[in-house]
Amino acid sequence: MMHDTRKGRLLLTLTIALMVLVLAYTALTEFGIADMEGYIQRRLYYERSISGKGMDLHKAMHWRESP
Amino acid sequence: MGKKVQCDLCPTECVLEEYQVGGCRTRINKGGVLYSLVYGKPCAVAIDPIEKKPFFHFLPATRAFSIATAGCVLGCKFCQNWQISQAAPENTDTKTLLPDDVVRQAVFYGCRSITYTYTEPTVFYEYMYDTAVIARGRGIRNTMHSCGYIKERPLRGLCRYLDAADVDLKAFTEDFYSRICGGRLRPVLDSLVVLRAAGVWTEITNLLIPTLNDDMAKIREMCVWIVKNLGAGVPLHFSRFFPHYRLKDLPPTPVQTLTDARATAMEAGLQFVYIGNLRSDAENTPCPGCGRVIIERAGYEVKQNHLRGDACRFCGTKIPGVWN
Repeated sequence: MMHDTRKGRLLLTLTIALMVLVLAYTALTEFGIADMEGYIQRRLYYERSISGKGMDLHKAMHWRESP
Repeated sequence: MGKKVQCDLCPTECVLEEYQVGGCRTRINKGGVLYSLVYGKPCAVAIDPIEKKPFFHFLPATRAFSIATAGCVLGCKFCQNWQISQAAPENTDTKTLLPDDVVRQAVFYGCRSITYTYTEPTVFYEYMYDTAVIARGRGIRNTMHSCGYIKERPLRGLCRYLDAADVDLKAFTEDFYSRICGGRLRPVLDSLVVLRAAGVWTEITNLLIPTLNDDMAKIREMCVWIVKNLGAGVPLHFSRFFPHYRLKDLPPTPVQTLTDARATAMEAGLQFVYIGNLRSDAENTPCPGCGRVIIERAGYEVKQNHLRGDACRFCGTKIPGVWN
């Protein structure tokens, strides 16, 4: 049987851990996971369906770097 | 991850992340550099009568070496070549035909011109441009059939090597371009003005679709705009619609609608108004001076040509066009 104090500490620790996880997930979602997921999908498509099929790339005219 | 790039070729102005492909399906950002996926990779190569493009005032009865790659800058629901225009190049059967080879083959098959057509040539701009430069050097003319959805700077660059353009003016409302094509009307009108000002021979095609763009008041408005901004001598081809792609629920254009549109255009002041996708006398070119038929056509075939130089053989009236 656990003491009430121990139970309280365990609950507090779990609550803090959960909060940290939620905050970390939110931060990562905000700052990169979605971008990273999209990037990986695009990269995989390029490697498998474009480069993988031997399609050549030719430098395009009329474009610029975007801020 | 690399830098984003912005494509400046068509008015859509796609901003692309690393490894992202543009809306046209033919341009990709790799490492912060924009690349074409279709250079030297046509999915359609054919030799056609120039009348098929349609050009009725440009080197009649000659052959045009015609090429296209996959992709398009628009997504018209009525597209007649949607199998290639709405396809990604990696999912299309292509062959390798570099600009040199295109010109060499055009010469070999006795073609007077190369036409960039079937899909939207803007999407293979670099391929078209390089081919056009070589063709010009070999005395082969360059023509394109385009939707005109291209930005001014690339169009002006191309105009230096372009001899003729047939532009699809799909309707005369922004609503039609937005709902049916996924684009805008204004840039197309701007392109027509640029082409004309640059001295590129220009003809216009308008596909008449029942209930969507067959309002005679709008057709009249369009024709008045053409007369005012491009001139009365610009040939206009009204083309008959047949159900295709995502507009299979509409009937073919009634013949009466086409003849009414032609009458409306001529009342608005246009001198050369044709009807396409339908066999009729409206395939012929009458002389605006004496009214006699100077070029008689049956489909894509020229039956009689009564031009002497660039003038009517009967009355001497000059007929606008590129005749030799």
